[in-house]
Amino acid sequence: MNVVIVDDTPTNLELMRMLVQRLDGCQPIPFADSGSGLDWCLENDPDLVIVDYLMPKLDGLEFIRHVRREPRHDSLPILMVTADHEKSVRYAALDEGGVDFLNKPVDRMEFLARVRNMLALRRSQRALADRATWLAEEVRRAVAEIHDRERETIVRLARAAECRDPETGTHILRMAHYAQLIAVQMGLPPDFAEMLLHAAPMHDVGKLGTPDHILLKPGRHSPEEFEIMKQHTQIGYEILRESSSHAIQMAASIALHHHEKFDGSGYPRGLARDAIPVEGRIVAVADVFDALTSARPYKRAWSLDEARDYLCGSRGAHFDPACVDAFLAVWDEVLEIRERFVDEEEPAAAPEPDNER
Amino acid sequence: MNGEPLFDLRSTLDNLGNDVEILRVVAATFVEDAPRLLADLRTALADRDVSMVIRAGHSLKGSAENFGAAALIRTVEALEEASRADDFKSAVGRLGEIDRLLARLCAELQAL
Repeated sequence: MNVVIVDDTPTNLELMRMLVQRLDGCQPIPFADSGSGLDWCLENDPDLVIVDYLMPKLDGLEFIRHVRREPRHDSLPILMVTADHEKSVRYAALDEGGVDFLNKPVDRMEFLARVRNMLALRRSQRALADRATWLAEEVRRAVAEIHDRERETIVRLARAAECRDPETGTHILRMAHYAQLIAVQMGLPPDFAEMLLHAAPMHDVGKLGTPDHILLKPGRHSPEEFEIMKQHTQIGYEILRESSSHAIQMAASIALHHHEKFDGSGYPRGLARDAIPVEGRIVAVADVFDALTSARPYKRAWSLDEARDYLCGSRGAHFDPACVDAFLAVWDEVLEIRERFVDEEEPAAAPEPDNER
Repeated sequence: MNGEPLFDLRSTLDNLGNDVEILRVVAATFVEDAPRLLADLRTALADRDVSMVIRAGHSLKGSAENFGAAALIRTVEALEEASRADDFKSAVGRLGEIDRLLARLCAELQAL
């Protein structure tokens, strides 16, 4: 352990240095100049400071005050060397906290006993701090593991939904990134936007419950079939609801609301405006935009201009104007996301002119 | 005064747990530092700077206390007392005594 000794009198400094050196595992670090001793303490990690009271320049009390100002040293044990008649000095030192005294002239028995006590205190402090650090790290690791597992659950659910859907995996990635982009642009908290990125891929998980002959039917749905199609919102909600995970709670809301329309003409509940949770309004824009600009077995891919016109035309009807505006305001980033997640299996399906914008 | 020992070897060694090595090292340090301690006192006295006299006296006493050098310490206290009383003539006289005592003490410590 490092024992800093500060005393301007060489004989006393040498005496204390030698006494400390005789102690097991102790490294004396002597300073005849209080300023140099203070600098060392502020830059290093002493275990005990022994400081003389009466010194030129910086005296013992000032020295202790400066050391204590360093937050790392707020409980560093300090011994101050004074003559026992210097009562007022002792009281002032006690006020600085964590201080004990050594009588002058140094009495070896007293000196060794007090130094040992202070170092025992220091060892306990260190053990406690190490334990606290270790615990904090363990908690951090455990929480990170829970987050990773939660994310994995979400990814696997989204994958399960993809198996049932003629839409591609890249559609899901694009729309999730569009949704995040809109949320950020709308000024929603970064945590919320991040959660949207992870929750949005599950918006169609309810299609797991849609019968094959309806889900995979190539042509138009009859009105009865369409009613059954619509149920995927409710089914998705039932699958995801009441989770303790915030991301899955949000996914449940998205599953239920992503086919609602701003003017109240959507399904399943015909909610309008603010009655539709914001994540539902955002995903509606992201999902429809990507569906329009992607080729499907029953339709060609719309051009970006066409899709953009559609969003503008449906602003306030199908879509929340705030979501549309946010989306169009970051058009460059929309294009970046489109280029990042390209469908592999249908490279020529949606040829777009490069001179968009 | 000639009969009085310059320092208390017995209690000094006792205090150091009979660790002769520490005694020798600390004694050598004192011997080496003694000219500075004396010079500080002399300068302070020449400047008639009482607070510096007290400070230099404090250092000298603090160093000498480690060896129980009672006669030297008493003489330093007498010098401080005289300076406080503005009696610099007798203070200078005391300094002469201190000089002699210190020289003899150093010689004895060196011989340890």
